[in-house]
Amino acid sequence: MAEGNYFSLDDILATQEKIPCKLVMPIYRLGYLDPSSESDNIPVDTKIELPYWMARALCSRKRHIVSVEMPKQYREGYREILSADASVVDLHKLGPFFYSFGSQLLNFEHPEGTDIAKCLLKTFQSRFRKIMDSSQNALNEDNSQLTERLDETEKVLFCAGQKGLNNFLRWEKRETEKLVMSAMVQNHRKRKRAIMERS
Amino acid sequence: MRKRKYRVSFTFYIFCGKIDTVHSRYLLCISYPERKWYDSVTSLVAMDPAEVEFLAEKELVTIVPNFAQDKIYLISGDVGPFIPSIPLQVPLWMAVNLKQRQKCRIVPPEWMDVEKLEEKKQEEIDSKFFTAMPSQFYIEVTQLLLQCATDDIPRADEVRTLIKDAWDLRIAKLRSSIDVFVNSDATHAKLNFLTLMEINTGRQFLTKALDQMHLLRANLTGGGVLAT
Repeated sequence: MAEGNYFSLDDILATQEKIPCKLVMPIYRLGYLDPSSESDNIPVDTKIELPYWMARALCSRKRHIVSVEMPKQYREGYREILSADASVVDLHKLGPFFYSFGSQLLNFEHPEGTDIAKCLLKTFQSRFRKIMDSSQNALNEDNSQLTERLDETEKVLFCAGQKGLNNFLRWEKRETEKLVMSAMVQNHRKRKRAIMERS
Repeated sequence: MRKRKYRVSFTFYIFCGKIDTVHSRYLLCISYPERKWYDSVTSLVAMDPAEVEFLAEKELVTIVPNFAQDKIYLISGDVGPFIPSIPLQVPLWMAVNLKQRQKCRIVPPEWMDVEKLEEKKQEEIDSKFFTAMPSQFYIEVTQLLLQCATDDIPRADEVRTLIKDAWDLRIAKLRSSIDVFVNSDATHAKLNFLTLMEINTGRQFLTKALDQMHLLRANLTGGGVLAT
């Protein structure tokens, strides 16, 4: 199953997402993990939300301290919405790392795992056309409307599409062969002037 | 392993003073290997259109010089001799440069003709698949020639429009075939008759999308593919 990339910042962010868990064993002296309880220990059957990285360590074949439930955006109800028409769903709201977090969730060997994996693939496939078309057409326009509903992976894809088109149009207008001043130098000069004028 | 030749015709660039932004980059990197174009498609991560144009500039075009000059022995091959009003074939970059210095007249390529291009366009519209373009570098050659040698090309405006139409048609076709490809769960595709510039424009996007799909599909089969 897909393991994340250790140094990838996106991956670190994706594994921060919380997962609802239920304790199988009591946990002693870690009462502060559950903000609603006052005691030092957390009893069995308590429901708490743990970040993925912690849940992963506590729930595996070797060590079974908590049992994991799937977050709601990967459950049957949401899967049905996604299978009906994925292109209208706001994936950014369902978790900015919908695909990578979803793939990592499969590590828990949950009975619904296969369905989730299928759903992730289908979702991506049905949203693909829209991302491609909008990234290849909308240029010099405000893209925030389009991109705000995209998952982080899709955003990267969108940027790649725009870059390809942009590079081509710049070449077509013969802008690539002009030498331009670097933005850094330009800003530096402006700043210098502002300082000069102030003193 | 195939033995690689190294492209060292840069000496001529210095010789004729043609050092602009694109080429100066290559002047600095002497060991830039001359590869077949498909080789460069697979090996270079991101190639910008200017680099595609750089490759296109090796295409041969016919010019009619108005000066006399013995054969020039370039490292990539001999060119010349130049005899006034006797046509000869030179690389595109040299033709453009000579034209800019008003030392020659460029003979437009055979395919750069309004009737032929109209036929081509119709063929492209009628066909479901991509059709063979008259030149591997049709858009680059048109772009360069129409920029510097408009006076040598009959009905230049119409040529420009037709080439642009063909490009738009093909890009739209490319997009819809990518869509079919992605939704059909296919893992390989045959891309004959696509030109380098067309591939290059959509490459970043397509390969990224396919990588992502591969990861999602590996989830399904449980194949241990590392997410990157």
